[in-house]
Amino acid sequence: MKNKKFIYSVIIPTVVFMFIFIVIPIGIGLAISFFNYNPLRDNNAFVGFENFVKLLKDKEFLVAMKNTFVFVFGTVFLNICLSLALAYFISRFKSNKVRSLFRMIFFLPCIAPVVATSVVFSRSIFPTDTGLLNMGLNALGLGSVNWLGDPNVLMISVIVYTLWVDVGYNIILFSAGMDGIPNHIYEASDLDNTSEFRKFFKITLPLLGRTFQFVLVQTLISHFQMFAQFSVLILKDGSKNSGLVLSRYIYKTAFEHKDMGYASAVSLVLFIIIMILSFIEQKKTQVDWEY
Amino acid sequence: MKKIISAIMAILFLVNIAGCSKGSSTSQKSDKKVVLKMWAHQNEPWNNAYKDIIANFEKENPNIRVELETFPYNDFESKVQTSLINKEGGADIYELWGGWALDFAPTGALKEIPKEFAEKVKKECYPATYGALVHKNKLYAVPIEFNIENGGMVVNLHLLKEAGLKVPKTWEELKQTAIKGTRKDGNKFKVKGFDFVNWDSVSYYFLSFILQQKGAYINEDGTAFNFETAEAKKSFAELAKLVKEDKVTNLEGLTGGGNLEGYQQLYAKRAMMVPRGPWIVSEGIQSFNLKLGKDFDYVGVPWYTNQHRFAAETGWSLAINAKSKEAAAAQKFIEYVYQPKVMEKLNIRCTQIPAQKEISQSASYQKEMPYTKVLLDILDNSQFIGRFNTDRLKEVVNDTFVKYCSNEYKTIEEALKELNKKANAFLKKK
Repeated sequence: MKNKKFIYSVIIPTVVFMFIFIVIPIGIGLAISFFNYNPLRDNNAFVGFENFVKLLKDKEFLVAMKNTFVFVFGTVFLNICLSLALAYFISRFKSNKVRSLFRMIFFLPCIAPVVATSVVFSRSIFPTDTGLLNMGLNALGLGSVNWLGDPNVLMISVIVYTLWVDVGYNIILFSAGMDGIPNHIYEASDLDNTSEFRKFFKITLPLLGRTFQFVLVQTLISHFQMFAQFSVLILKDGSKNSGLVLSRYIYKTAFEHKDMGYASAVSLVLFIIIMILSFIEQKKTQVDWEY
Repeated sequence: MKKIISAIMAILFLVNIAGCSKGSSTSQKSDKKVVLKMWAHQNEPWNNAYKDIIANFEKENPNIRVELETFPYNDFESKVQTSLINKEGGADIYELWGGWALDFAPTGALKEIPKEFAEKVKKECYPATYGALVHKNKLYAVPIEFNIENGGMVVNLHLLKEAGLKVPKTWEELKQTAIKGTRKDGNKFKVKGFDFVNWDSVSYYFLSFILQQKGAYINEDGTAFNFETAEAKKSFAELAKLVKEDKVTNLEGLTGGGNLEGYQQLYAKRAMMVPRGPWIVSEGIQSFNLKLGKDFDYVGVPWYTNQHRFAAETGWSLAINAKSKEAAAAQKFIEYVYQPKVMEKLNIRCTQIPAQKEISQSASYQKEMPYTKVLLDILDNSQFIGRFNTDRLKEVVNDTFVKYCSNEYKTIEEALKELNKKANAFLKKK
């Protein structure tokens, strides 16, 4: 009974907090999406499913949806591959100090504020005439690329930036997972002269199941919600809305167009997409055991 | 012992009484002093000018104290909006952007300016400066500036001289000067001859060109745009030709990719002529260490036709919170700021174009702000842009312009049809 009291005293405040700051806002957001809602007006008309019907015909929303999926799947795939590979190589160093040094180097961009690093990239790395990237290309005798102005290249630039800023976090998580794999398994495989490639796919990856599942779902959710780099790196959503993603579209609709009902409908769609994908991912990558 | 305790108690009682009486007298005094809270966006010269005005106002009105609170510009609109929606809190006086008044005035969040004073303001100010502040014939704020993005441009005098060119006097001359002054290295611009492609200028000049042809872009009651007229077509084509055929600039100002804005590129000798409002002059002097008249100049943009017309939106104003308990004192403060001798100082210190006709024509203002003459001369040619969200109009005009210049439309008619549809959709939604 005493134990239960302790559990309740710990859990109840958290549940209340989540209810007030997560459940209720989601409920209000859901309710608002059925109104032509503008907080400045006294009367906001109930429009039923009109906002949701409008979504299907809204070309800007469809572009934002397409861009979001391209960005999320592109970045998450590359992020997982890159962070896994880097974490594996780092873990192969025998010295703890060397491992820590590399982890720190890769983790540094995660500490810097996204807004600040976005400004640095937009002003110093990506500009067409004076950017570091094009200077490098020109030095190699190649032509300049309009990294942030060309609609065909814009999303690649944002993905590259996001990988730079975000990959360190997953390296730390994968490294922690790899450190938990017993060393004697690798030693046994050494006796069989197993290649590094085989070790990675036959030992490391299968034994990282839980970590992999956590990293994947976390990365997926956070990337669907990414906003700062799209606001700072890109000028007004980019040429032909090539940099418009759902988070930016929600902000634009709510605070620039002051159409909060419609913005809530878009938010709800994003919420459902994240929920479904997280559910599928959980089911597909479910593991029953781990080291 | 009892006596000692009684004496201590008596002393404590007296001290307590004295303390209470002293406290109540202070509170009575402070009760008499009216405290006004004023909110403005952060801008050092503007905020310093307000502080000096407040100090002088307080000297003349010792029973009123004005507390100025400032907020970063990016947060200011949402801060004002949140406070005006709520029934409590917020400020008594707001520094309010004209476009925001369009949203706030119909909700009853702003206090109506007394009729007599409102009539005075309407008589003495340019219509564009208070157009958005009027709702159902009532005025809800007092303009402090004329927001103008038409009619003026910065020119880089070194680039003009190097190319053997002069400041153009006619629209045809401007086009020729821009073509001759443009320098390229392959596809890369070394100098943009006339970089008008930015968030404001494409839309403003598009509307101005329509008006200069005696056309109209919106119907009389402001309920529908019409961008499918012959005047609109000619205006759009004229601007697009500068990008597509004359190639005096590119679309970077709207699509991104550069590290500097157009006018900053001019200061860095990468653009020769850039149309913008007079607010960019101080940046050239302060941030780029350039000299006005020697390195660069602020001159008039030649008119497209001989009908000198342009549309302008309402700029910054001062408004009173409808819930303010000190509305009378707040009104007194606004009337104090509105006085020509006070407002002129404010306009000069904030490098604003005056909203009041009297100040714009005063010799003292013109002496302090000589480079604004090209704009002061054309203020009478202005008209209020209309009661709609100007950012949304700019968004659809710029988007159509970029797409048309990138050959995404087969014809100009197709582009303008799409523009018309999108612009009317948001107007209807309002």
